[in-house]
Amino acid sequence: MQNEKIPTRQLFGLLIVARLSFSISSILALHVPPHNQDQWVMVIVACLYIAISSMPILFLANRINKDTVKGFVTSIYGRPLSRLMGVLYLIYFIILTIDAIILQTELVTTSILPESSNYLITTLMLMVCIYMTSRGVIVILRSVDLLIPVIYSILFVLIVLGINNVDFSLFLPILSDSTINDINKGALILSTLYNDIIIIAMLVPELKNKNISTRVFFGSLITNMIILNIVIIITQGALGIEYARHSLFPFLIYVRLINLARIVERIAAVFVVMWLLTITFRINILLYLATKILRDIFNKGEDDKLCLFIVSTIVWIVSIGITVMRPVVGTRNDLNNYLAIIFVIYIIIIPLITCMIFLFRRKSISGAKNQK
Amino acid sequence: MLGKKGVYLLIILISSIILASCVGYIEISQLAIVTVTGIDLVGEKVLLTNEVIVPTDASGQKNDKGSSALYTQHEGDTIFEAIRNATLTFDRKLLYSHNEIIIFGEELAKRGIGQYINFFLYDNEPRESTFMLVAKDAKAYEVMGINEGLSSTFGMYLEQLIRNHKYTSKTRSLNISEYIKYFYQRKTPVLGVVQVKEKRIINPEDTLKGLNHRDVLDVEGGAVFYKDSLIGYYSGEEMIGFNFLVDEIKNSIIEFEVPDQLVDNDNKYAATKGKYTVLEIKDSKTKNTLEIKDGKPNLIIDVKLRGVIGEDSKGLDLRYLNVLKATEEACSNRIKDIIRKTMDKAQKDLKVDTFGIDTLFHSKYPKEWKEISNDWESIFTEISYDINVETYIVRTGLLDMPTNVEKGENNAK
Repeated sequence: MQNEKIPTRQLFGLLIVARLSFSISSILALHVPPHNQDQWVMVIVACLYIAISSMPILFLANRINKDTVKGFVTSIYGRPLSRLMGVLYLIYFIILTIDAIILQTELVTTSILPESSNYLITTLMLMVCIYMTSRGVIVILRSVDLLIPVIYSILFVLIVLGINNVDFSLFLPILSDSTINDINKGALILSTLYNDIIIIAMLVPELKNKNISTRVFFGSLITNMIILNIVIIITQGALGIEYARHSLFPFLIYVRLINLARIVERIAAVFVVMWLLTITFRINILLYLATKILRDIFNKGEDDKLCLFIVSTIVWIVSIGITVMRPVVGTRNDLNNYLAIIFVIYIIIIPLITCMIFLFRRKSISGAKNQK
Repeated sequence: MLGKKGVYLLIILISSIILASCVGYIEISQLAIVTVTGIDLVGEKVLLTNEVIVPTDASGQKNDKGSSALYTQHEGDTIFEAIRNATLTFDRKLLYSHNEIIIFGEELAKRGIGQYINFFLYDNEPRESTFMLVAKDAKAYEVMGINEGLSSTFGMYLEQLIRNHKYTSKTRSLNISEYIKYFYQRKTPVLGVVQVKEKRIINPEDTLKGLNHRDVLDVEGGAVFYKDSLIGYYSGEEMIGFNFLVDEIKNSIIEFEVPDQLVDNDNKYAATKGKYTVLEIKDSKTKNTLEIKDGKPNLIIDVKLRGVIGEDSKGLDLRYLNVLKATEEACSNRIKDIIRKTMDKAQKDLKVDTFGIDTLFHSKYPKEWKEISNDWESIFTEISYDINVETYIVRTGLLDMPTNVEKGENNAK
């Protein structure tokens, strides 16, 4: 299984499922300017910023395709600096994993298991994720392939069942209450939360067709933004612009409002199960990539379980430490500022520097490779 | 020592215990399921009255008290404190996930309900689909406990009355989520009302007991809020106009008088001649359009409805198209009158826009809206309006003439 390569379809599926976990939970796009009925316009503008900010990594991803990530980074920075890069990105992936686990724990404790201990929920969820991660990326992606129809069917059914609560007149007038500055500001903030390009870059060497990363990125970006816009429109239409902003999990409220002839009601648990699948895949892939980086730092192979144990233990301790101390989703404004800084460093600055070094040293790098 | 299989087996065993809710379970008989909550003020304290379902045993028998529900009252500075204070005097913890209705006492509603609904949105137990009502001329607890329906508890009785709104359109059902939506959109939500009315004694047993009357609940009318404070009421008829204006008419009826000249003078009345004709609405659509005419906003209300003749005792001969059309026109005129009365009430008496006309203005004239939005309520009172109603009678029921008229050779004009 180790020599198996990832079909493009599976990577595409992973990217839209992993992003869905955010699109139907805290819906960060509702909490950025312009804070009105034009949020969907802001999301469209955000696509442009996401595309621009992802360019450096996308450029590098297209160059990695004949090498491994480790080999590529080492050829640019040399061995000692490449290890430092490894440590930096290890921290980045651990932060992203912790963020996803905290979101998972908070939604579950808020929605269906309010009396259950955070320790128990976090531990059980992490155990599932560790097991899947330990089986390797091929298993994770095959599971995605298998469950995507289930996830999207449930999402579609939930949207349709609640559509009678949506008041589309709330979306008028279009673009009259927002300024260009507001929309751009919101789009910029939103773009700093979209870091899927790093997943593509890390998995490029494992792809069957390595020349397709640009198409996968733009395809998943557009798909994700369409889904996000559908979710934004129906939640704003059902809850109203302000209530959707007040709510921590607006789509959960949308589902709780479903009541068809008093037969189909109280189906929030269906939504939570579907959402758990999406966030589990996100955690799996982030945990896998963090483990992969640690293995690369210590020159360990895919079979090594110690690195997975180390990464999982760090994630477990920090996640529990945070979830028992304070709410994270509720205080997301501050957290998003930190995540934006981290995004700029990891997705823009470091890759930009790497691109520049690559371009300056292109001849010597290709010369060294040819000698090998 | 355990081996891989042993570890997996252990995990499955532990999970089956933890995940199957075998830990921390609560039996239904241990829960106090709240179905209706009444909120009043006593001084500065919140007085919470709850209807709690009495759990029955396996054979379906009720408890020693013999009733299906009982009522608890608790005070606190906040809703949550009042709920938790309940555990000091009541032997079960109150469960709000099946609470269907919140009733606000009139006094509290006049002071503002905004701060008292937050608990129901913060906590995951109460549902966002819980109905909200105002107890007209009463405290919330004064209307609770009455059950003159077939339902087994007051809560079920009242819930059914709310759900019946579609048959008359003389009230409305609004839940917490809709309230918040309209509160932010229009600042003037209209809630349903509930009041106690007297019912004549019919049952001989009641007469023997010496009762003069029985109390019955009535949900006719609407409670008008400005921001979160009660400022007045719409009557039942005004609520029909309101429901036409906000396009929420469902399966209700319109009672109207057709002009006398429409009835054939040669009609031979075998029984007494009645006054009214009734149309049962099958579907209705209202489209409100706003335009600025001579610098002033003018509202155009276009109503189109299809209906079935449900009753006539005046003697209309509906075999003839001219009679049918004239009847449609009479119905349209009646609807115009109803809408006009509601508009008059809103413009002259309440002086608030409860119909979302501000949203129309905002949508169509966004630039002008920014200049006048703060002054909208005074502009609303000056708005002129035109009402166009198109009624289509699509069926005449099982008769083409009422049976109190003998059918002659040439009845129609």
